[in-house]
Amino acid sequence: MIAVLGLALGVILGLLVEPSVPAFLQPYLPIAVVAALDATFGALRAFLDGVFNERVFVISFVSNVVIAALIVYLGDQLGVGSQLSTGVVVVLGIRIFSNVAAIRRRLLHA
Amino acid sequence: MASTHSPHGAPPASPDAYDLLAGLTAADDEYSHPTDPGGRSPLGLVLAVVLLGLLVTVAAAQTQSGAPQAERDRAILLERLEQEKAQVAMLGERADQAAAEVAMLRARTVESAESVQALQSRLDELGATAGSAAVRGPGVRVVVDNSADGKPEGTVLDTDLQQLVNGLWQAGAEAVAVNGQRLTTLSAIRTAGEAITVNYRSLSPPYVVAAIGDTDSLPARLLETDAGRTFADLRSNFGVRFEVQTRAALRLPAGSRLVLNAADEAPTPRAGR
Repeated sequence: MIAVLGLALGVILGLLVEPSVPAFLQPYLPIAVVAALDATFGALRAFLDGVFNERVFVISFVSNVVIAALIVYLGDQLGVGSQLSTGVVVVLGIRIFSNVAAIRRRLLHA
Repeated sequence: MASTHSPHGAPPASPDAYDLLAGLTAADDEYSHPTDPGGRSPLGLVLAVVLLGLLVTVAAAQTQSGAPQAERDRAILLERLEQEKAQVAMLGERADQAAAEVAMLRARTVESAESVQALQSRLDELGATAGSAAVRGPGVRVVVDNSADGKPEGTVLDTDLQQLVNGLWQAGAEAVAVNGQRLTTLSAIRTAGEAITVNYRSLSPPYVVAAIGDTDSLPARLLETDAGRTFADLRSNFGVRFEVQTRAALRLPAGSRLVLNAADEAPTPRAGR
């Protein structure tokens, strides 16, 4: 419940404040979002499994976001930024799918 | 893919070996190694979830704000496309106009070329008659010379040559030349000192008078004229040489000193005006 409230609060905050993202951070924002989604679905699955741990969630969330952004940043510096972005998105996407599959099995037994 | 046959079969995968694909497809097991049960303070959780919402919203807003720019670019490009299309149409129209103009000018050029051609042929005709143009054709060649004994009575005078030339004109000659001097409307046959001059050029005997005309009628008609009869008399009485030969092809040069001093071209009335 508190998580849903927090999510709504974040969305409203983003809509109201409309923070302008600095130009140098713009390329990393979508990757950060995907990484955050990955952490979130992992947490949701863990919650359904009954092994949810707030500390693990917060740490994995932050580290996922930061590491994804760092990888893309490194790729940019090496001239393979777009390729690395694709790679990160693929990896995180696969993880998201597998987590969602687990959630689905748990919820729908299918 | 050739698999290596080891005697022991495939080596058992070490549990520590990280299989990339398996690691990717395996369910996230971050939570299966709980290290610390942790406090139940929801602060971190709330912060993380707020951050998640914020991130998603901002990213979406960012993409949305980028869209109008793309839309504007697209509109600008469409506008330019329309402009270029209009320009292409306009240029095509101008090309058509230019083609029509070219056709008109070409027709006019052909017309003027035709009139130039007509004028040229008329000029050639007039030049042949007036003596300003070289001519060629069949004709007669009259050779006249002083008598062999050198008596004064047997000497050909300028008046004799004048008479002969007039006789040739009378007989139907279209162009006459004496010793290569073409006779024009302004030519004179005169005596200057001992010699006869034509076009102010002194001639020496024998005098060759070439005339272009009908080879069938010209010699006979010449002999019927006064000039023909006079020369026949001179030949029989004083031994003056007088020979008339027909030639299938004669070539007479253009006359010199054909300068108009007083006459001017009259405007030719054009047909249709």
